[in-house]
Amino acid sequence: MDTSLSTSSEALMLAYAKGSADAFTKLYVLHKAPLFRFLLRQGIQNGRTDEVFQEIWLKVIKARDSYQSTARFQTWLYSIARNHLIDEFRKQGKTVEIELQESLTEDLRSKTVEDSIDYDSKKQQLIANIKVLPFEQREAFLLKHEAGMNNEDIAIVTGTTAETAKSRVRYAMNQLKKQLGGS
Amino acid sequence: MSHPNDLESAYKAASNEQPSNEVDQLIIQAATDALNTVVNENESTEIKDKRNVIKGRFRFGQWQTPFSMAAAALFTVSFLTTYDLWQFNDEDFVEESLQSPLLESKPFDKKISEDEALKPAPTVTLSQEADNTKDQAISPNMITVQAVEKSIDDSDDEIVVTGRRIARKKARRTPKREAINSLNDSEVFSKAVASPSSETKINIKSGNLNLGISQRLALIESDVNNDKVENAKAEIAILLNQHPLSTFSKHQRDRFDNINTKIQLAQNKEQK
Repeated sequence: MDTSLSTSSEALMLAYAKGSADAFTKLYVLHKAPLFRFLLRQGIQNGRTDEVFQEIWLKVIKARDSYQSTARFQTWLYSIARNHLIDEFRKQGKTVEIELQESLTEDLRSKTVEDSIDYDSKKQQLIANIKVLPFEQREAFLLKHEAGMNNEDIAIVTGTTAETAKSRVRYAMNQLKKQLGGS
Repeated sequence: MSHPNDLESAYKAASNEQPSNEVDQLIIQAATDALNTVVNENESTEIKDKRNVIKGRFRFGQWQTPFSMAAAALFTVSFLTTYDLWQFNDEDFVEESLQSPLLESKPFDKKISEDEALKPAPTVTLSQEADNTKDQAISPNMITVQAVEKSIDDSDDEIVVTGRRIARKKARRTPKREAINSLNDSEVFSKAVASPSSETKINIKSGNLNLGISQRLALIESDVNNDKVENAKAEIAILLNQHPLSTFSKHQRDRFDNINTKIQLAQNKEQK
C-alpha cells in the first residue's frame, strides 16, 4: 500500500469525523474498488455483494467518531469488512458455503476437462478458482492482491501472525497454480 | 501461467470490477446524511434544553444545576425551621413520652401496707333517685352513679375470716420456703393461723417456721400438755403448711394422731 495514500486515508477519515463530507467522498473513491473485489471474490450468495458492501460502509460511517489516527485506515476498514463477512457467512450457514464451493469446483472441472478451448478466458478461470479456495487462504490472497497489504497488515486484519499470513498467501498461490496448470 | 508473476498479472488484469454508480451514490448520500443528522441532533438538544428551562425542568450537569441545588437547600432549611427540627432531641422525646399520664403507674418496689392491700376497692353502685324533684324536670327517671366505699368491719373476727381464707389457699399447694418466711413476718399471717377466738393472741417467733416435723410435734405436744390448746392448733396449722401429712413417717403420724386426740379431749372438756 502506498504510504501517501495511507496517510491521506487517515487524514481524510479524521476530516470526515469532524464533519467534512468531501473527505468521505475522496476516501470512498480511494478504497471502494479493492474492497468491492475483496467481497466479490468471497463467493457471497445470491448477489448480495452490493448489499454487504453498503452495510460495511455504513458501519464505517457510524463508527467514524471511534476511529483513532493511530490505526491505519486500511486495516481498520478491512477488519470491519472481514467481521461483517464472517457474520454474513454465518447467516448463510456453513453448508451453503460448502455447497457453493462444490458447485463451483464441479463447474470448473467440467469446463477444464470437457472443453478448455471453449472456456472463454483464463482470467475468468482464475477468478473462479479463487472462489473455491479455503476462506483463510482466500482472504489472505485477496488482502494481498486486492488491498495491496503486506503480511503484517494481513496479520492485523485476520488476527494472526505475519508468518501465518505469509503461509496462507503461499498456499493460496500454490493451489491456484495447480488448478490452472491442470488446464 | 505457471510463473507467479504471470498469475498475479493475470489476476490484476481480471480485477476490474467496480461497485455500481447507484451504490456509490447511496453510500455517499448516507455519509452526508449522517453528518446532517448529527447537526440536527445537536440543534434539537439545544432546543430541548431551552424547553426544559422554560418548563422548569433542570438537567443535572448543566448551568441550572447550582440554582436547583440552592433551591433544594433553601427548601430543606425552611422545612426544618418550620417544624423546629433543629432542636429535636431523642432523649427528651423519650422522657416526655414516659411522663405521659397514660403511662403513670406506681413503682414496683413501693411497699403497700397490708391494710391497704386488704381494703376492698370502691365499687360503683347504681341508685335511682326517683324522689329528686329538682331534677325531675330534666329527667324524671335519672339514674345517678355513686361511688360507695365498701364498709370495712375492723373487728378481729372479720380479719380472721379473711386470714383463714389465705391459710386455706396456701394449704392447697406446696408453699415455697421463701414465701413462708416472708409470711411469717406479717401480722396478717399471725392472725390467720390463729383460732377464730378474738381474745387469743399468738406470737410466733421468727425462725420457728423452719423447724422439722419432729421438733414441731414436740412443740405441739408441750403446748397440749401445758393446756395451750390454741397455741397447739396454730403450730399444727404451720406444721401442715410446711409438711403435708403424706410426708410424715409412721411414728410421726402416730404422734400427730395422739396430739389430735388430746386436743379433742381438751376441747370437749372446755365445752363441758
